[in-house]
Amino acid sequence: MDAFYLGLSNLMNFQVIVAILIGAVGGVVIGAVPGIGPAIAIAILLPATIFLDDLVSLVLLLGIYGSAMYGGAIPAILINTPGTPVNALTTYDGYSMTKNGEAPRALSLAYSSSFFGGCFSISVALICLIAFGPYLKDFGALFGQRDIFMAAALGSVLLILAHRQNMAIAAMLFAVGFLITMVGRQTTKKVDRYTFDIEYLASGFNLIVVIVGIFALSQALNLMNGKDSDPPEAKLIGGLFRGLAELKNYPAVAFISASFGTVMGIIPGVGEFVAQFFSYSTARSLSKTPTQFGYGAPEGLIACETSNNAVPAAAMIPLLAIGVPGEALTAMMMVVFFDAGIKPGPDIFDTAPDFLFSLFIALLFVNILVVITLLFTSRFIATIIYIPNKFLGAFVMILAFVGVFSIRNNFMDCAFAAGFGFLGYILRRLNWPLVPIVLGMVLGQIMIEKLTAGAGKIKYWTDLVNRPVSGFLSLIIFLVIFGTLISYIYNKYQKRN
Amino acid sequence: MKIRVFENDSILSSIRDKPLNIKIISKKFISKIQKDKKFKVENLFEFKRVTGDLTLSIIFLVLVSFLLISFNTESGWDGRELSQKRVGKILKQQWVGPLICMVVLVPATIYNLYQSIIQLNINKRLKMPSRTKYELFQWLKSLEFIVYFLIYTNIITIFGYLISTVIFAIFLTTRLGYRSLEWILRSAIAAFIIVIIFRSILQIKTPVNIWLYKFLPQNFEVFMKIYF
Repeated sequence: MDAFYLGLSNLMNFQVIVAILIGAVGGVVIGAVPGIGPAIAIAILLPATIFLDDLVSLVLLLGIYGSAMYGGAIPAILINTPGTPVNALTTYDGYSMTKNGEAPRALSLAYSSSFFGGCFSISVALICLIAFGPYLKDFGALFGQRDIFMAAALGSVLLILAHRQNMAIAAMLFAVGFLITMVGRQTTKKVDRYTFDIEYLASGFNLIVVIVGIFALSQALNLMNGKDSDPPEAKLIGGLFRGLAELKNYPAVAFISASFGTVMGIIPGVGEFVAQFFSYSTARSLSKTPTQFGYGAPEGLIACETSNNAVPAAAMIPLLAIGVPGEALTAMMMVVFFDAGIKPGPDIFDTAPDFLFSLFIALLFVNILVVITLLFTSRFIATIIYIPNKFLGAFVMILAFVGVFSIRNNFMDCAFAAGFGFLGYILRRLNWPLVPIVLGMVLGQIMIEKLTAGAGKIKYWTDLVNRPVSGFLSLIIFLVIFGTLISYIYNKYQKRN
Repeated sequence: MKIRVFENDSILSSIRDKPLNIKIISKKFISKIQKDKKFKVENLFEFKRVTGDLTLSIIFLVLVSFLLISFNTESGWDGRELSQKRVGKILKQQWVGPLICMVVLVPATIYNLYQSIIQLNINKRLKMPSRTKYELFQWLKSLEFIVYFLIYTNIITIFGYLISTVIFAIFLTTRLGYRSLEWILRSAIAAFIIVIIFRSILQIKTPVNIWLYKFLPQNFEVFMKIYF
């Protein structure tokens, strides 16, 4: 419990409190504006965090991550346009409720469900930390270099397999991301890899340059080249407090969805979409009125929003516990850890347990703050969603410059970011996923670092898998690949017959 | 009810006296069913290969082939030491990372191209329009904004971060079609706020040797260099 109190006291700092406030409110606004998601906001803010204290930076980014989906529900419910991609399914029942004249009810249900989902996964993380904290100190000893290598490999496999319909593209882009990290002078042998004798490439690509290019600049180009949408006018009449308590009428749906969100958040490469899919399907199968789903069923809305918001806290668990990020936003946060010199991984339970508590408690504060803010400002936020896309795109581009140039004061960084932005723009147009590139960079770097560091203990190939953890993880990798192959062959066979 | 029929039409004239509840007003068929913008749960995992997919797949194959050809010289493979007793000594070598990438990249790129060709054949069979030229034009169209972005990054050293950002914001806003005074003012204010937040408050690094600032009085020059 000492670590808990220490973690709480870490937050009693003016800078941290301001970061929580900005993160919470900023995240809601960013989420509410269709076209800008938390990924773009975090990509732009990443370089700014270099100048801030590590806890302040992480709390700020975590605040944006944890609150953006609350904001994203507003346009999804009011104008049938999801604020963030994750809120797409919210339109299904949320907008139907608006059409039925129940917009305040839908919004308040979305807020209470999101709050429940967020608090559920944070509570799970905090309870685990308090209950198992003393034992987790020894957890570090179980994880050697080879084990973390295998965990990163498992994360990579799950990421690729999660893209069910476009696995080849996901694998290709993951490998591209991995190869990007290989570019530059290798530190131990001083060998240049894929530099083609270009001096700039000797120092390699900066992760932030790629992230800003791929996420922010590409979206700026997308917005500026697209058309301004003309959303229908949405008026919010009626109080938002009444619907808050309605969540208690659907305890099973809320609990199951939050559990799905937590579990799917922990598994690398899976995330919000799969959590929503399972939650929504389960809620429909449990409902007494399954035909209502898609036409304004409150359970449908609860399932989507609860599972969504349970993911951020849960997604921090693999990052903090084994140092392996499971999705793009936590991968971006990894950059802050790299800059702060903190190594997320099993050792963190021994070296900085208070830091872990600080992060989860801050996320809890963010959730509370967001709900309070939204109850009083939803009408104002509902007007922000009408900012024209093209106008937004111009300012995303301006902000992207700050993001890139401030890293090394290098104009070549801006040029390469523009190149990655162009690539990202094409990928966006073709619906190719962007996340595998970033995760390829982060997980690829982890894999190579751990493989090199653990190479001294590898005499035979079997030494890679002869430790309990690495053996177990490699077995899971095998089973997951084997299972996917079997299901692929089975589906083909079924189609043929 | 009134029935409009042609007098000479034998079939219709045979039923002329029967009470039909039909009123043909116009030849045009108008559907009053609203467009379904609804998002479906299956859409969460939906992926459709669209126009331009094959082009990008081919570009990727060319790039990957180039990377594969240059693997020997660019990955450190030419300095490999495979005759090691310990596997660890092999895994430590510089070419291992690029090799892992290539092992994934090459088959994935080929398989992706194969799937793209299958989709092309399906589209041909369904006689769907190709629109590849239009898609390529859209790709190239975005280069205009990339050029603006690169110009913006370079004029900062001449006019400073504040002036360049305000000019760039106003230029982009007018270029994108928002030409009223109201929008121009909005963009200038937004640009000013960005500079204040990032440069003046957060003190994020921007170019310091500004040509224009050299003409300012010394105290003002220092002030501008620090805050703008």
